Amino acid sequence: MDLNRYFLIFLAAFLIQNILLIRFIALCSFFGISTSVETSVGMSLAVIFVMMVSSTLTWALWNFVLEPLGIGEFLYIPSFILVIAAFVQLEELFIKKTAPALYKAMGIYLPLITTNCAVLAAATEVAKPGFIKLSVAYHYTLPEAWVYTFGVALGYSAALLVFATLRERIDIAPVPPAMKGYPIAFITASLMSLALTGFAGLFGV
Amino acid sequence: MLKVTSSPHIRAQENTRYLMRWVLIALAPSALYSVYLIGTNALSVILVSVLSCLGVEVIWHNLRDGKHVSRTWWELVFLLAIPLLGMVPALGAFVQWIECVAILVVLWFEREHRFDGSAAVTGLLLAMVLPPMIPWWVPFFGAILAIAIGKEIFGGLGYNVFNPALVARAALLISWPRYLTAGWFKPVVDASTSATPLVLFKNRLGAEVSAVYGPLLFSNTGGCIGEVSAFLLLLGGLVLAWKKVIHVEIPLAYLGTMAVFAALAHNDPIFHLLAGGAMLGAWFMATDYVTSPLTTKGRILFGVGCGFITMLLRLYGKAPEGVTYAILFMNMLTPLIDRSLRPRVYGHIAKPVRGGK
Repeated sequence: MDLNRYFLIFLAAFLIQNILLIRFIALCSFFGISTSVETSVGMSLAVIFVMMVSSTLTWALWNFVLEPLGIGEFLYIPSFILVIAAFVQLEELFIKKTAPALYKAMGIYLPLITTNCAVLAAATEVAKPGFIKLSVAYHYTLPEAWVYTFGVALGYSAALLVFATLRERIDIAPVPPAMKGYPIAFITASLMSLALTGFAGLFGV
Repeated sequence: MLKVTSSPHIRAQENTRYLMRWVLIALAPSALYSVYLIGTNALSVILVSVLSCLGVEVIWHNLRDGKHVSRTWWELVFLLAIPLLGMVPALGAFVQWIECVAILVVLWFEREHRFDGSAAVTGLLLAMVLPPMIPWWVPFFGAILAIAIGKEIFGGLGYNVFNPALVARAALLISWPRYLTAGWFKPVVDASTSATPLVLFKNRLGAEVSAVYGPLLFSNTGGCIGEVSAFLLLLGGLVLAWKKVIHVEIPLAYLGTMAVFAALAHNDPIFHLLAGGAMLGAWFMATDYVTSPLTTKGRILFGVGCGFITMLLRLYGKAPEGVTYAILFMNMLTPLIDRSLRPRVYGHIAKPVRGGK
């Protein structure tokens, strides 16, 4: 077991190639949900859960079905979307019946995640790693796929939570009228991204 | 004015102007000393940066408050047009002095504007984190970035999320990396060493690291304008701590964490404390009231985070220095720290520990 490799995969997914602040994927939910800390915590829980399961499913689908049959290159996006959407719907029904408290905590965010691009991004990358340049043509093993997905999901959650706390502070500031709301939110997000650029190349990732 | 008084009260003289004046006083020795050692280049960067910050602030405030609007628009056009003179080959770097005089004229026109001194501090700090041989218009744009994007767009002093000077430096570093990572002063005597001590360290050229303590403390001309003398910066920081202008736990936690990290990684802790922007960052940048946590516990956590990230980036990162990003990163976490370490409201009973009786 190469712990160093797991650590690098996690760090790259969590911080250095942060899915929101460095790669700008899933910006719609980033700006839509981050208006308060409570909603972003609910969204984060839902994203972590859904990402872990959907990445496992797509990893298996790619390695056992799509690639052996040689149809992966042109079928992976439709099939992954189908898997994710079907899984989220099933899961919603299941959680509603078995764990009402959890369902209440995740609330509206569970169905919303069906269309969250971060989930599809993570699910695609564990099957076809391309963004994290540890090596080019490399297939993640299942534990590596989990570590990677967990890193992406935690990175999403951390960025969302921090952004929500910043926005709660900015909401009470006398921002010029023309910049109120989304403009200042975008400027804040860009400055957060600026603060993260310094981590590029850490540990050679 | 709200007056709730019966007894004779003591009026404290501490306001923003007072605090900012002390920060300027504490920064002055190292700024003047670098001008003395480096010469006109350092002077021009400092002047352009400070004056531009003041100019941008006065123009922004006038336009925001609707005072002298037409005159202010003309001033803005005037100040932005002067850099175009740089296209005249014969003028060259002389344009920077024209711009300085122009900003002074604008400031004279706006002499009734009440400055709180924060723009001057931001300008001086920005100049001190730039290399001395940088083209003069880089600090000019840096000042616009610092005051407009770093501070005023969030609602002005007290509402900015990030340290304005560091926002400007990070943005300049992305925009003009060539100017920001070169342009170090070349001493006449030994023209071969034009890299900063940290760059040498990164390239494993500084075999005898401890031999550079003296230069780092008193005459390190390879580096940013503010990195000339770690001793004078420390002195300024101690003056601020003595006047209770800054909270001393932030620099102590910052530098302490750096030393421990360096020692654990088998590096020379004293070298890392003296080299680069550590002193400037720990005493003058991380201690910014607006962008650091409100509680003592939070400030210690903030300092520890800054020190940890600085050393992480220095030892394992791509670039030789990490102070800028470390402080910006912890600025970003400040509201979260404040939220999680909220002090108990007086009279309220602490929440019982879950699982207790």
